[in-house]
Formats: sequence, C-alpha cells, structure tokens
Amino acid sequence: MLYRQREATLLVALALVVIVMTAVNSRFLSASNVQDMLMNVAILAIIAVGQTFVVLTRNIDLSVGANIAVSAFVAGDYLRSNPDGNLLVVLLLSSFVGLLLGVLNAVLVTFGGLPSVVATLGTLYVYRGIVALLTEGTNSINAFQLPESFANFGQSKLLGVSVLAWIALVVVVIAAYVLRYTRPGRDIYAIGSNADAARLAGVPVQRRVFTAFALSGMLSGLCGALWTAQYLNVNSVTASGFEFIVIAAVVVGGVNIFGGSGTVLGAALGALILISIQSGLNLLKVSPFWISAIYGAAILVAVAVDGLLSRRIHAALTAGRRT
Amino acid sequence: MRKSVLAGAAVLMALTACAPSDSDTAAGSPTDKATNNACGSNAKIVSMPKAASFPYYDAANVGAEKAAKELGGSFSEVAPATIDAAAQAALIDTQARKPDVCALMISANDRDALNPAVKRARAAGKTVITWDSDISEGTQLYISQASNEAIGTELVQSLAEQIGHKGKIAFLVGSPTQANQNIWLDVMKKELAKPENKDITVVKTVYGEGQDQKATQEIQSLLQQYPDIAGMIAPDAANMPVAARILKAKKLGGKVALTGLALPSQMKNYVKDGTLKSFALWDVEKLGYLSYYAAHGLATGKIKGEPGEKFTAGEAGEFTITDDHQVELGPLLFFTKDNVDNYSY
Repeated sequence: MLYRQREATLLVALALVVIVMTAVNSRFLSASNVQDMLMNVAILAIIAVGQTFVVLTRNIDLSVGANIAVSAFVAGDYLRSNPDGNLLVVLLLSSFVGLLLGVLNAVLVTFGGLPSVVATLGTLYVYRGIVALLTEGTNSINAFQLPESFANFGQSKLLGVSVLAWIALVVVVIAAYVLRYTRPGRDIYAIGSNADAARLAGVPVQRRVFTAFALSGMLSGLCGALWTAQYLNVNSVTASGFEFIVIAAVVVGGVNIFGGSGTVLGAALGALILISIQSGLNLLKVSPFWISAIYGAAILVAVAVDGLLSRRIHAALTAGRRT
Repeated sequence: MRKSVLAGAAVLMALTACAPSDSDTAAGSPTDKATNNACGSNAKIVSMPKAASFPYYDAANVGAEKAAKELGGSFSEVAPATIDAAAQAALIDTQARKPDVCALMISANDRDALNPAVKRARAAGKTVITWDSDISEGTQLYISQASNEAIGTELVQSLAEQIGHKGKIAFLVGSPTQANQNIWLDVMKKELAKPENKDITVVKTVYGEGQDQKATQEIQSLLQQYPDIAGMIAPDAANMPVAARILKAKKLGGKVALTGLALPSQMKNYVKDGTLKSFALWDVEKLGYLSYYAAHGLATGKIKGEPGEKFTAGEAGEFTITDDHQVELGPLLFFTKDNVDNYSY
C-alpha cells in the first residue's frame, strides 16, 4: 500500500510546481506548452525507467547518455542509407545496439565484479569515443539526410499528445507491472534491500543484476532512435551529460539511491517534475546564468518535500498499525 | 550524400574556433621572409585545409583552382585525414622540404600548435598564408571569411527587413564563452540601436550550448514566452537547424522570421519548404579564390603584404590588407530557395 502513497506525494510535488509556475506565467499550462513538455519528457522518462531497475539493485548506470548517442547514430545512419527503412526495424536495430552496450556493462559488473560506478563511468567514455569515431570530423547526421516519414514520426501526435510520450507511457506501464507483480521484479527489490539475504533466500542475484543493466541499455538504445526522430541530428555531443538529468529524475522520483525502494511510476513522475521546473524557469524572465542554480535548488526542494511527506505518511501508517 | 555531412562539423568549427579574428594576427613583416627560390607566375601552391574531403573545403578548392588557371600557377591540396593539428604540422614540414613548392595556404586546426612548423617553412623560403582559420603567429597574411562587422550588420539588416523593422526578436547563440559570437552580438546590438531599428526589441538571448536537447527546450520556451515574437537571429550553425525544425513543427514558418549562419546543406530543405526565407554564410568558393590570389601574389612578389596595401584578386575585385595583416573576404552570401542548390557544402 505504501508505494501508492509515495506516488501521491510526488503528485503533490508536481501539483505545487504546476501551481507556482502557472501563477508566475499562465502560459505554462497552455496546450502547446503542455504538448512540448510531454514530448520532452518522453525520452527522459524511458531512460529513468531503465535506471530505476539498476538503482533498485543498488547499482548505477552512468553510460546511458553515451549509449543513446551510439544508438541514435546507428538509427540515423541506417535511415540515411535506407530512406525507405521500416520504422519498426529502426526501433529494433537501435534497441539491439543499446542492448549490446548494456550487456557489456552487465558483464563488467556481474562477472567482472567491478563497482557499477566505475564500470559504467569507463563505458561512458568508451561509448563516447565510439560516437566520436562514428561521427568523425564530419560524419554527423543532419536533418536533411533523414527521410521525411521519420521526421514526421518524431513530431506526430496521437490524441494531441506526442507519440513519443505514448511510447514512454507503454514502457512505464509494462515496467511497473513487471516490478510489482512478477518474481524477477520482486527479486530486484530484495537484492537492493539486502543482497546477501536475497542470495540466501535463493534469489539469482547475478542474473537479476545482469538483466537490470541489459534492460537499461536496451531502453537507452530504444531512446537512441527516438532521439534521432525528435531532434533529427546526431553528433559527437548528442545526449552528453544526459545521465545526470536521468539520475536527478530517478532521485526526485523517490527511488532510493541505495537501492531497495522506489517505483518506475515515481521515476517517471520525477522526470515530469524536472521537465516542468525547467520549462517553468525558461518561461520566467530569469537570466540564463541563474537558471541552472535555481534548477538545482528546485530539485533539492522537490526531494525535500517528497521526503518530508513520505516520512509523515510512513509514521502515520506505522502508528495506525500499533493502535 | 555521406560526404556532404562532413560540412556540419566543418562549419561548426568555422563558427566557433576560427571565425574572423579581431585579435593579433601577428604576421611577420614581409622583410623577415627568407629569400624565396624564384617563384614565377607558374608557382606551385599547396592548400592545406583542416582535413581531407570536406565538402566545405572542396568548394574552396574549386575557387582556388579557378584562380590558379587564371594566374597560370599550379594548385594542389594536401590535408590530414582527420582534423588533427599534429598531423597537419607534420604535413607542413613535408611540404617545406619540397623544393618546387612555393607557397602554402593553411586552414589551421589549432591556433598555436602549427606555429613552429610554419616558422620552419618560412625559414625554408616558403610563402605561408592562413585562410578560414588563423594561427597565432608566423603567417604572412590571414584571409578571413567575412568581417565581424559584415556578419553582425548583415544578419540584422536581413532580419529587420523581413519583420518590417519592428517587433520582438531574440538571439540564439552557442554559449556565453564563444568569443567570436560575442563580438557579433555586440555588432548586432549596435546595428539595432540605429534609428530605423528603434521599434525592434531584443527580448532574450538563448544559449543552445551546442546541445540539441537544451536548444530545443530553450527555443520552445522562447516561443511560448513570447507568442508574438517576430524573429530570431542565430549566428550559430548548431542552433539554426534546431530553430528551423521547431518552427516547422509548430507551423510557424513564415510567421516567425529566422536568419543566421549555417551551411547550405543543413538548411536547404527548410528554405525550400518556406520555413525560413534566407540564411547566410560566406562564399566559400570565393574564399578559396581570394586565398590563392593572395598566396600567389606574395610568392611571386606582386604583393608585399604590407598594411594598407591594395591588390586585385581577379574577378573578386580589389582588397586591402588591414593593419593586422588580414584580408577580409567581404559581405556575407545569403542563401534562398532559388540559389541554395548551387552549393555543395
């Protein structure tokens, strides 16, 4: 029951952000701004879902941004040589590339026994190096090389909402179900809570951690194709630093950075909160030099509000149990 | 197709690192040039762009070859395989040892790293000029793409005309630290301060940081914040395609004017579908043409390379060497749907 309450506090935080931003600039809630935000949150939310699996096992995947860039390049490169390429093939291809990169992380962490911070920091640079080589000098992907149909897909809407956001919603729903109701999903929480106890209880710890990294990689790969569709451009700096925004979303979304607790729905809400704060700040007449400081402070406030509320709820629930 | 992609990075570099420099082109005085081994009008001149097979530099070669034909000289290109200052320095040394080479025209991969090699080439009697991207010392002349004045004023004039000299506008720039873009911003502000532009207000300066995702969010927000915005100027080749993509997606093409610096290949689809009317860059072919004329003139002694000196570069007309040993190509070249297909870079 508690997990539902966690999301409730996030909804309160999101509502607060929306109310404040709308009060300052009513255009914040305009249809077109909401459409922009839903489009911009899609990739962040999907990556945050993958990251949540990893963080729940008390690990971290820092290579997601670089993974997106490699996969985005592969998707774009495929399309520029096959303008009639099938969309599904593109999505599968980039997901597969992402999966391979994720599997390398998984191997380093599970079989190699490397701390995930170190392993994925290393692969971050390796993958960035691959992007630099692929886009060498000049081989970056430009809008004019991509087929019109793919560009239209990136901008298309279903019921007024970006198709990217619908894809994100599907990913969140499936992931939420897996984590909540399946054996492997529950195992992931057990590992993050206490890996030794989980092992003794018969949880295949290595295999689950492996799967979490592979999944994070595969979702990054999927987002590579989505990135190309949304931005129509891939170069050596594509998605660089994106990993930090993802981790911020996961943490704001109430996922315990030390593993064991949190939900993908929370992480997705965290992503939505971050995008809302960013959009709101951009709409304010604030000097761009201040925005990143205010943004950071807003993240801290969001985490604090969420932490405070969830502690209260937790206290109320446990008190209720005692009486 | 693939080859033309090269252009993106090339112009990004041109717009960030090596745009017309207002700083010290510490060109050596013409007298310290070692005696050149008699280069006649059939002088062999080698161009050394940042890297091989960039469409951008291919276009410059076309201009240089044309100049060579007119002057009766010879022209060839020697370039590193990738953008690499060390490789370029090694190539300079190799060319300096060749007795038949009269002059080198270099688009530098690094402002400082080539100085020693250039010094050795000069000591070996070679004429050395830089074009497109300068070095900090040792070059005899620097042929710059366009003056800062031209870039700033012409972009403003183009946009002001499109919006009827009134309304809200914004600058879309790279990052607060890009020296050349900051100079252009100052020139633009000066141009905007003129009486005919008194009804134009700059409402915001947006920093795209070269990141599609950041630039996208910032430009989207700009359009939300100022729904009545009349135009945007992007003196940054990374922001131009982002802004055009957003205008097209929001069906604001033609309603919000957009101009700036970009490669024709990046933007040709957008001018053709009417998302924007025009954008600009320098005339790369003419840049190669002028550079060859300057290198040839110096090598054969027709040009002394002194400040204030005037020389004629064929059909490109007359040019004057500035006090800091620069020659400026001149006005920007604007691309519209009618001429954009004529350019391959």
